[in-house]
Amino acid sequence: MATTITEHASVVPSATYHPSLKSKLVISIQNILMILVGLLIIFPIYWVLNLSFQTINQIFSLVPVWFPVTPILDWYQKVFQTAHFERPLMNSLIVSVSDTVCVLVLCSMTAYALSRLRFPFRRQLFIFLIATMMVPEQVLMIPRYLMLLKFHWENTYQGLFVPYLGGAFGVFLLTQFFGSIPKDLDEAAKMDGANHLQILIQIIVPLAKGPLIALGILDFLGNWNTFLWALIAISNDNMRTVAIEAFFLQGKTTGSAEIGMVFVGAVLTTLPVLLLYLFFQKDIVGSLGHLSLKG
Amino acid sequence: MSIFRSRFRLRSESGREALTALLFMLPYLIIFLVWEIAPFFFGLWISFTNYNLLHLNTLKFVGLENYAKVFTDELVGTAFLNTVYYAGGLVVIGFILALILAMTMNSTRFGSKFLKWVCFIPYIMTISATGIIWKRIYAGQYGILAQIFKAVGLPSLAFLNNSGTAMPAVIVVGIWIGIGYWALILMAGLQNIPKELYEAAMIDGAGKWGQLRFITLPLLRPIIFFVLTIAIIGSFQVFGLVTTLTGGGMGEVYGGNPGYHTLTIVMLIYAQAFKLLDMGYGAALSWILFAIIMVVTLLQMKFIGFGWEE
Repeated sequence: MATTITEHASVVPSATYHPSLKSKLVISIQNILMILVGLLIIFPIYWVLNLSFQTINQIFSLVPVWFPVTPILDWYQKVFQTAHFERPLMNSLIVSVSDTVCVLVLCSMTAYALSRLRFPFRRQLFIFLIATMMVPEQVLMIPRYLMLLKFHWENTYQGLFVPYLGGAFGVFLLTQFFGSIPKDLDEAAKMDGANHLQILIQIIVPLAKGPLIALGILDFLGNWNTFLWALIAISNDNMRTVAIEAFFLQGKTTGSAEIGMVFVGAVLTTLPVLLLYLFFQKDIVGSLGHLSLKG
Repeated sequence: MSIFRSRFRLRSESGREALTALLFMLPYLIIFLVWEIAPFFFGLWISFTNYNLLHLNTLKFVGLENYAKVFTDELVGTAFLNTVYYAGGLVVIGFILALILAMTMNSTRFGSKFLKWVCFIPYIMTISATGIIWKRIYAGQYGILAQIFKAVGLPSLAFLNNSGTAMPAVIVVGIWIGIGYWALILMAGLQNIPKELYEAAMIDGAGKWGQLRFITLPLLRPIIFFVLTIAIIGSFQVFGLVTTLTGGGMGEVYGGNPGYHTLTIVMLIYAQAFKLLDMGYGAALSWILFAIIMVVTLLQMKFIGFGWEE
């Protein structure tokens, strides 16, 4: 059972056992070290933000410019005016939102059936679904691409996300969680005349808000960040997602006078992700622990 | 209520329930069949043919020809070795660092709260953005790393172009990405170990290392197995990171810098299938990758074990 107690003995004996002055110093040093490591980890993100506001001379200076004292917005302007970055941003948004909505609906319904309805081979089906998660996407991507061509779905929004709707991760997560909701609630609702759809929507979903939000966020992020498939499914410049557009922007401009735009591309790609993380960090990280301990 | 009536009611009820279940699962199952099951077999079939988008009219069954080609293709050997190099470096160094990080974060100090919040960020960042950022950090004259090295007297190179430092540089980024994710999972496992065990051990005179060896690591085994497995499987599939860092222009077929020092298996598959349009060969390569991943996972199970016995 995962505990929420944070006062756990780690291997490093904590100061709760020997509160001396020397240990107080050790704690302070440990704290400072941890903060330093944390800063080191986010340094690259700070760095690209920094670069996106620098002048071309600063970008190509032989001495690092740690902070742009006079930030310029030129690169941002250029990216929207000449590179038309708003199109990839919109593409990514449409695809990711559609994907998230579909995943939540499909997986909820499937998880409801798997966790609360009785039917033959239910157990085997569940195990089979989980087994399919072991197949790496590279095995499926070539045939999927050929199928895309047959359906004329290349360079379309649906081509970007529908193939992934069959993934078993969401079903796995939700089935586990739905399974932990007591079935007496179902019985009570049935006696009031509710059918299964009503039970799902009015009882289960409100109770499963946590995992549903976590799944939604994880799915949105996964989709936003998808690289390999987005590269394969789209050949038309206009239909690129933000991840791919940033990649191509880099290919076109490294070393040239337009390099500032590449940094802006990276910033714009990352910004929605960071915003989502800021708001939903607890849900995302919480589901991590839940998953790894159950799985 | 007679037995006959109750049995009849039960049968139609369970029938109705099964029907409801089917209806609820149908949309998902249809998509699953079309996009997970069908491609699985379709891809297998393709790997036994000479499927090539450039000359579809000569499509025919070629048996194990593609697979034989895999073993004689020099580039496959290079890609395989590079991928193993990447996976090995990433998992060994990255995992140990993640474990240290997890144990460090497993305390109530405010420093660890900040770390806990921050360490996951690299994992959720878009891979092309990460590649762009690190490519710049590693750049020759103008990259911050080269400039810092020069200032302290260390050799300052274009790390990604130098054959010796290219893959290690990529591994460092891989570690940067994964360490927070792995550490958070490990930390969840650490928190499940009862404090009393450590107290008892300390009373018995066990020092830091004793505690680590006899309490922490054994009890953490299932989680360690989990983290190692996802780390290895993920590392064998590396593509976006290496392509963004060292992919060369899209004009280049394979990427992986001059000398193919960072060419990975998936980069090879992608180039064969989507640039040279040789789907048959690409499919065979992807199935070989699948087999490799299965073997590695099975070896892991053998040597590390699920840890369920405990």
